[in-house]
Amino acid sequence: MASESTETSESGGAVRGRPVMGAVFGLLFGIFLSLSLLQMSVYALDSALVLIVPIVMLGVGGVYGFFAPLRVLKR
Amino acid sequence: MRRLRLSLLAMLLGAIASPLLFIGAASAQGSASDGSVAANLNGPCFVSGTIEGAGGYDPSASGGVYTVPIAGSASYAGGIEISNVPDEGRPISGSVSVALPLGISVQIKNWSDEDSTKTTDAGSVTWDLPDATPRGIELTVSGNHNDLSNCDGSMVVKLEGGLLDSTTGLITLALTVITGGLMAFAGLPK
Repeated sequence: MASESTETSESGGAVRGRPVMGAVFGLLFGIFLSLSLLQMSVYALDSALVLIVPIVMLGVGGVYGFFAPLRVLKR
Repeated sequence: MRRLRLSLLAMLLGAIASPLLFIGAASAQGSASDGSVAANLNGPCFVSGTIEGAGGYDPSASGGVYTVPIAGSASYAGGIEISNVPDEGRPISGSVSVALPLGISVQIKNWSDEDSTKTTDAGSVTWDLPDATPRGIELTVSGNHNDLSNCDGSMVVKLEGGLLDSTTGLITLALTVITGGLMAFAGLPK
């Protein structure tokens, strides 16, 4: 992805996350999750959650990609 | 190799997390679909229907949630209890619409007449929707009828079945798992 965040790890090395990738796939995940929940009758089509879930997942994905919490798996 | 292993792990985490989210959300569903929603029909109108093999529908008794089969037939009857209808008729109008988020609604049927003398209507309908039609989506359907006295009401209907009962639902589920996995992949440092 074009945009990436950079931070310094405890050992001094650069750790690069993927906030844009996280946001994009977070939004897509939110859209499909919302469509799935609709078909599970969790909420009705006129519920604001139909729009809120994708927007929230966009933010969650961006923050998640920025901090790249799975860096522990790479050590 | 290590990179591939981490990618597969991220995909696996996404694949596991997605169904867990569904189960959690479904368990929080409460009584939304138990058919005990309060009646929502105002004014001197009456309407009811009977779907073959699925029972009766009466929004004056309950506002929903009514489950409709993907194929079938139904008979309906409705009318308005008014007196002193002029012999030359009176103007009437009305519409039915489906509610969307943010207060938006889409009109699916409307009617009007400048000199109507009818106060009741009845008939039957048949339908056979494609297998790919998504199931389980709860639609809030609102209607109004403008006459010598006005009526309005709403009810919630959904197609029988759920996420796993249509091709569209299965594709939606697959895309949810895939995009969830790709989002999980974004948590790996570059």
